[in-house]
Amino acid sequence: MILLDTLSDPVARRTLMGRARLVGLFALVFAGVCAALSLTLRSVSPAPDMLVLTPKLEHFQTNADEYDTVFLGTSRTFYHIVPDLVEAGAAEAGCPGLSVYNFGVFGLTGAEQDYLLDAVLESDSVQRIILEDPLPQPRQFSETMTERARYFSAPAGYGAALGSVSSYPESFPKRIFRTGMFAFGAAYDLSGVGRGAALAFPEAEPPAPHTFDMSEDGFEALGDKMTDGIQARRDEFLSRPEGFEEALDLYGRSSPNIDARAAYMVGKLRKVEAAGKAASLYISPDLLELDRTAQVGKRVAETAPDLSVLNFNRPDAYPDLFERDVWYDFSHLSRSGAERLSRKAGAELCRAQTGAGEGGVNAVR
Amino acid sequence: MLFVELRFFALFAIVFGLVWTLKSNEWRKRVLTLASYVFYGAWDWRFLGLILFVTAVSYAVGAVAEHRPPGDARRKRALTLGIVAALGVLGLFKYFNFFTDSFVDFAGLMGLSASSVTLNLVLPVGISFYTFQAISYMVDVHRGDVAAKRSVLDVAFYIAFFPQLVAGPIVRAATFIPQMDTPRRWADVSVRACLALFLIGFIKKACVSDNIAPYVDLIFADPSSYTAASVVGGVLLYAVQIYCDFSGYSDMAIATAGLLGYKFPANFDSPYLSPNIQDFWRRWHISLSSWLRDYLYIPLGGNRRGNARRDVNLMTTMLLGGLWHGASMNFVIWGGLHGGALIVERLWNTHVASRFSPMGWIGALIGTVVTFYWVNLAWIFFRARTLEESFVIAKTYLTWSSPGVETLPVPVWPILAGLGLFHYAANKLDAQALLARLSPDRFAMTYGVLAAASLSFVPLGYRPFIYFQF
Repeated sequence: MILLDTLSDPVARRTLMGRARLVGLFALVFAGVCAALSLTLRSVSPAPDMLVLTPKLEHFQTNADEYDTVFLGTSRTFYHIVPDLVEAGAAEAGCPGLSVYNFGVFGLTGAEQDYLLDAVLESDSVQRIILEDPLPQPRQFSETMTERARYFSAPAGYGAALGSVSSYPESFPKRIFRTGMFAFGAAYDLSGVGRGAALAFPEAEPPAPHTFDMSEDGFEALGDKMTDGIQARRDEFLSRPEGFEEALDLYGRSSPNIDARAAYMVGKLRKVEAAGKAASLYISPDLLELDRTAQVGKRVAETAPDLSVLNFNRPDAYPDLFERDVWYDFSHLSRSGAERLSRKAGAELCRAQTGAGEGGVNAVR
Repeated sequence: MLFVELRFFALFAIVFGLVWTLKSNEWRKRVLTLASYVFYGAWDWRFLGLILFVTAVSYAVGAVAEHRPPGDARRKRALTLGIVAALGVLGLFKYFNFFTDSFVDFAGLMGLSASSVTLNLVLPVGISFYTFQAISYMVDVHRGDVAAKRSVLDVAFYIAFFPQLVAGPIVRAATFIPQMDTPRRWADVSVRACLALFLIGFIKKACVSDNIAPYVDLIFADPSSYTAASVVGGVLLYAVQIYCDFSGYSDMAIATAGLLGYKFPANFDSPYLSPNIQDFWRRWHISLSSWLRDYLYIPLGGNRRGNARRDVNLMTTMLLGGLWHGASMNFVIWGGLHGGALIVERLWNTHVASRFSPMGWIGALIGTVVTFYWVNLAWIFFRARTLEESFVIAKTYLTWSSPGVETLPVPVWPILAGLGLFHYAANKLDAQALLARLSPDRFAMTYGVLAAASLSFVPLGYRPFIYFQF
C-alpha cells in the first residue's frame, strides 16, 4: 500500500526515482572499480599453491621431456591410472616404450582441464593425450569460494566453464543451478576481495608449499593419504553393501543431455588432434556415473568413429572391474582395482594406437 | 553475526526496509527487538534466555520504582536485588571460575587445601555490555533520571537493540529511552554521514585490524624468539589493532543505529593523541569510562572526600574496570597500571607541574609520547595470554632487549608509519564530514570507489571483534 501511495504521488515518485538512480550509480561504480581492481591485482599476484594440482603441474613442466603419454582427468584418473602398469599393459599388447604421466587432479572441472591441457600441449615430447570427462562446476557456495575455484573463475575461463556446465548430462534445472553457482564464483572473483590484502599484508607464517610424491609418476592410491572425507566415504561404502548393487542398476538407464556432452568432449579431443597429438577419451569405472559417462563414451564413439574411446564404465564389458572388493568407495577403485584397470588401459591404448584387434574404436563394445 | 558479514547486510537491509515502511512506532520497536534477538541468536539462541532474564529483572525493578516514592525502602531493595541479579548472571558466566581458582590458589599459599569447583560455562557474547545497559536502566529509573517503561517491549528493545548489543557503545537509559518514545523521522537521518561512518569503521576493522592481527598473534605467541625491535613493533601493532577493531565496531554500530534513526554517543576520540592518562580515558571507550565514573566512581565518593580517598576510589574503579574486561589477573594489572598512572598524574600535577609554567606544545608532545608509551605497556597485559608471557614482553618493551633473533617477515615499522599517517590525515581532514558534504551524485560515486577499494583489502576469513569476548 505504501509503495502504491508513493508511486501515485509525483513528488514522492521523483524522490524514489532519484534514490534509485543514486543506488544504481553507486552499484555501477562499485562493480566497475571492483572488477578493474580485481583483474589488475590478479595479473600481479602469483598463482595460488593448490593441493596436488600445483606440484603435479610443476613436475610436468620441469620433466615434460620424460613423458610421451598423458592422462588428464579427475580423481578417477588420479587414483586409477598407475603409469607403470599402463606402460606394462601396453608393452604386453605390443606397444613397448610408452612413458605415461598421470595428470589426474581430484575435482577437476572443465575450465581447469582446459588450463592444464594447454600446458600439456606445449610439450613436444608428448605424443598422446587421454582426456577424462571432467566434472561440472561446484554445487555449493563454499566450493566456489576456495582459492582454487577462484583462480579458475577468471574471465578467460568463462567459456570453458559455461561449456562444461551447459553440456553436463543432467536435468535442465540442475544446469541452471550450476550456472548460478558459476556466476556466484565469477562475481566473487571479480569482487577482488582479499587481493589487495594479500599483496599489502603478506602472510606472517606462509605455509610450506604443497608437495607430492612423484615416485609413481602422479599416481596415488586412494586411502594412502587419509582425510576425514575419504574415511567417511569409505565407511559409507563398507556399511552399505546393498548400495553397490543399487549403483550397478544405474547402468543402461538414460540420462539427459548426452549429445551435448559428447559434442563437448569431441571438441576437446579435436583440439588435441589439431595440435598434432593423438587423442583418446577415457571413461573411468564409476559406480555413481554408470548412467552418464558410459553413455557419453558410447555417443562419442558413434558420432566421431575416428576417435579412440577407452570406455571402462561398463560392467557388462569389464565385469572384473566391477567386483565389490576392488572398490574403495562408490566412485573410486582401490589400489588393486586401479592396478587391474591400468593394465587394461595400457592394452586398450595400444590397440587404439595400432588399430589392431579389438582396440581403439572397438573398445566401445 | 558480524557487521562485516554478508548475512548481516542481508538482515539489515530487511530491517531497514521494514522500519522505514512501518508508520507505527510500536511496530518499529517490535521489528527492531525481534531483529535484535535474531542477531544475537545467530551466535547461540540459548543465550537469548539470559537477555530475557536480565530484561525481566530490569522491567520489574522499574515497575517497583514507578509505584514507590523516592527513598522508599522497597524501591531501594528492588534496585539492590536487580543489580545483584544482573551482576550475578555476569559473575556466574564470567567470573565464577576465576574467583574459585583464585581462592584455591590463595588457600594454597596460606597452607590450606581447598578443592576447586570449575564450571564448564561458555561466555555468552556481549554479556558485559547488556548487563551494564540493564544496570543503567535500573539506576536511572531509580534516580528518577528517566521514567520507568510500562511496556516490557520497551525495556527489551532498550537492552537488546542490535547495533550496540554485543560490544557497545553502552548507551544510557536516559540517552536512549527518550529517543524510543518519539517516532524516528527519516528527514532527521543523515544518510551520507552514517554511510561514511560505517565505511570508516569497516575499513578500520576489516582492512587494518584484521590484516595486522596475524603479526600480533605471531609475536605474542612466542615473544622470546623475536628481536626487541620486532617485539616492540608487535606491541605497537596491537595498539593499532585493538583501536581499529573496537573503534571500527563502534563506528559501525553508531552508523547502523543512525540509519535506523537512533543517535548513539561517540565512543572514541583519537585516544592515542591524548597528552595524559586522564585525557586518554576521556577519549577511549568513552561509554564505559563514563559509565564507570557515574555508576561506580562517583557513588564511591569520587573526589569529594579528600585526595587519599579519591586515589582509593580511582584505583578501585580502574581495577574493577579491568576486571570487567575479563576474569584474569592480566586485566586486573592492566586496570592497576592505568589506576596507578592516574594517581601519579594527579600527584605530578599537584606537586610538580603546578610549580612550573606550562610548556605549551612541547609539553603536550612529551605528554602524548609518555602517555602512549604507558598505554602500550598496559596493553601488553591486556593482550598476553598469561602473566609470564606478559612479563617477558614487558621486559623487552621496557629494556629494548630480547634474547630472540627472529624478525617478523613483514616491514613492521613502515606499516606502522603508514597507518599512523593515514589515521592522522583522516582525522585532520575529518574524513566523515568530508564525504558527507559531497553532493549526492559525487557521494554515490566516491562511496562506490572507496567501498570497492576497501573490499580488496579485506583479508579472506573473518575474525571476530576483539571486544565480543568481553
